[in-house]
Amino acid sequence: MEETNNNNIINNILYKPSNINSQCSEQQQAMDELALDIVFDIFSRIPIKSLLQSRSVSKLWCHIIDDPFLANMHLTKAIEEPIMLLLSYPTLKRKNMSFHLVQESNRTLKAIENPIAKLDFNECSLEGSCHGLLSFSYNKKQCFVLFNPLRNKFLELPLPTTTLQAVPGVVSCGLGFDSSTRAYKLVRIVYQELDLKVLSRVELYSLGMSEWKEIVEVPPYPMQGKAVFAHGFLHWLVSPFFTHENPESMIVSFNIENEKFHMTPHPNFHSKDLDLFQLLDLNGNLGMVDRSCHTKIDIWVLQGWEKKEWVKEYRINIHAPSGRSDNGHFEVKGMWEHGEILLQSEEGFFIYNPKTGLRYSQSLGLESNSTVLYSHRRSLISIPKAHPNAKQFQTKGLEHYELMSEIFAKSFATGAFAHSSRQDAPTSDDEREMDERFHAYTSAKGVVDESCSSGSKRKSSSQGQSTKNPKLDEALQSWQRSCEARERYYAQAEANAGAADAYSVPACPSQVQGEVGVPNVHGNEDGVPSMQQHNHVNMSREQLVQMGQWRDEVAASMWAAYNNRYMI
Amino acid sequence: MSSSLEKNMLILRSSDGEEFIVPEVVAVMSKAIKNMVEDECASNTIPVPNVDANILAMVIEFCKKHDESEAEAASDLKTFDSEFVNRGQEALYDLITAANFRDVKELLDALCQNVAEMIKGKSVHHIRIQFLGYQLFEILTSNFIWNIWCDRDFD
Repeated sequence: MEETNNNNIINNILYKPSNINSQCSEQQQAMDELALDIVFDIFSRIPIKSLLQSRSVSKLWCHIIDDPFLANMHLTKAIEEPIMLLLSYPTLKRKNMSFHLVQESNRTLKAIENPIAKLDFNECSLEGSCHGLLSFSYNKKQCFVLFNPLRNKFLELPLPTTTLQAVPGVVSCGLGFDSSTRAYKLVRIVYQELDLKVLSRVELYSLGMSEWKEIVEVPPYPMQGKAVFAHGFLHWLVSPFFTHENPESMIVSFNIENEKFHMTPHPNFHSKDLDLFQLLDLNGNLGMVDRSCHTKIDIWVLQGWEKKEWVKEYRINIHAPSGRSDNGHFEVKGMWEHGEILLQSEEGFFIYNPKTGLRYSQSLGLESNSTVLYSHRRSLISIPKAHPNAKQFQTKGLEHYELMSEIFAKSFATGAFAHSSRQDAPTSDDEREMDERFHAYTSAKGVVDESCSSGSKRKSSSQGQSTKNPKLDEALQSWQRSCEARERYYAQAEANAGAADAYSVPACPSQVQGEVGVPNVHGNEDGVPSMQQHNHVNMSREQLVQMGQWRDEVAASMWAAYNNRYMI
Repeated sequence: MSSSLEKNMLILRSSDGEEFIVPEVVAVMSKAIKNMVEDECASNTIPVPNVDANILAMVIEFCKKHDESEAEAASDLKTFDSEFVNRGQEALYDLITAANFRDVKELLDALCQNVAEMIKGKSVHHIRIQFLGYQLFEILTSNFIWNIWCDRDFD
């Protein structure tokens, strides 16, 4: 008794919450009422930090937030401020690579102790980033991994086909997003020096493919440094070893969409020393840093991609120490909160605010050989990841393949209708193709087959071919028999067609008998006999048996023909 | 189109039968009504189904303000927007639905932004209570209930 009472209370609480607290019940309908596109619209206006926390609100919210559609929508709204990440590379003490958020408080830059993500690869180095995805290479720039630190998920890419034989340090990489196919693409350029000539090979991997593909087009000049992705192009600076060749421009660009290289024009600079320039990602625009003057650092921004309009957006007045004729010891790290720019030099960190000017900021434990500061843009992009155990099936076959083929032998087609389980399910086009292939086998050798309507042309053209193989002749004979048998079968079936209702009570026993009497030996592969079944209703038992035999004959001869065909 | 010169008036009828007389320039801020007017199927009264009189009045108020203050400073309009959308949740959702069906882009933008601001930075418990109609009591006792639920034996 007490038990049931208890249950009632629970039911009340679980299913009728409004009884307990009626004043809240008006809000009950709440957000579920809104159309889904509105919910997406609302969610795309919320900062990512808040969204990721809200994943645990409910299952529906989690699904919405994990939806790739929202990730893309969020990217186009561009409400995220860039953050600074501290990448600390593995040392003797730590094995993992860890990512820390960097914050400024009381004019002190400090990395937050708890890492937001960890990556467990040896000797990996950052190669590029795009839409919040970071690409790392490890194992001497031969293996690649994509990583989103906010999602804490990584994806290992397949191995590139070109292996590196020459001197190390001659690989350039870049990660970009092709908006026409909505695919992330990783470009890898290998330079090899042969007889004082530089040979370059370009390979491209687009996410979701099984392997890399080689691109014929090569960059006009070798590049250096990290690639910057902006306006749908990857940009590099020309390698300083090639300044003597006097390239017309310092920027090599790669069009992600049509996969071609070209030079991008830039404003005129006095200096041609490539070490004094730097490319930057400034909120999705391409920035170029000019450090050639010892009293200032200029940052130019490419405003419109079509017009190639460069605007000098920032001028940072800073004096180099005496003895230096340039500001090359500064490195511009990128955008920081509130539109500020972070610079790093040997002396420490400087933050430039366009309104208030430059300020020095102390740093705690940031300057170390094994750490790198990186301006990062948060994104919700999650990388589709295969099951961890799926990898073994790419190289290793199924263990009990033979045994399983014994068991399932009857249920899969061979020959012209063969369709691997790794392929997608056949569409109607595929089926038509298979059918044609099948008919091509049957009619190519001059066998008269009336049931094949499309074969007449092909028949006449190929009749001249003579067969040399006795096995083939055998197969042909059996085919002929099968075709004749099939004709007889059709004639009989047509004669009996439409005689009576197939589902009437007196028709039932004979139908059952008929079906029992007809063994089903691979004859279903052409699909015809089973379709005709309900037509032989009013036939006598002898006729049924006869038809069953014919059918068996058809099936057996087809099977024999198949076997012969594939033994040859 | 000469309609803007003549200042044609349109009659909108809400779902509960109340009628509003609105200048056409204001009414066509809704894309749906604009299409109707352009196709000339809005001869007299335009029915506005699934929007009741209260909400329709609000939408019209918003459109009127936006139409009048086109020349005014954008900051004025912003303050008006933020005050306008500062309402109880139920009215907010009804407004969003109305704005979505009638396709009033400015209103929808302002409303979505407002809801986003409400969600931003809130804790999970808070969101559950405020947006999904969870009860505070339920959350506090959910662990307790779960324990009973698991322990009871099914006879």
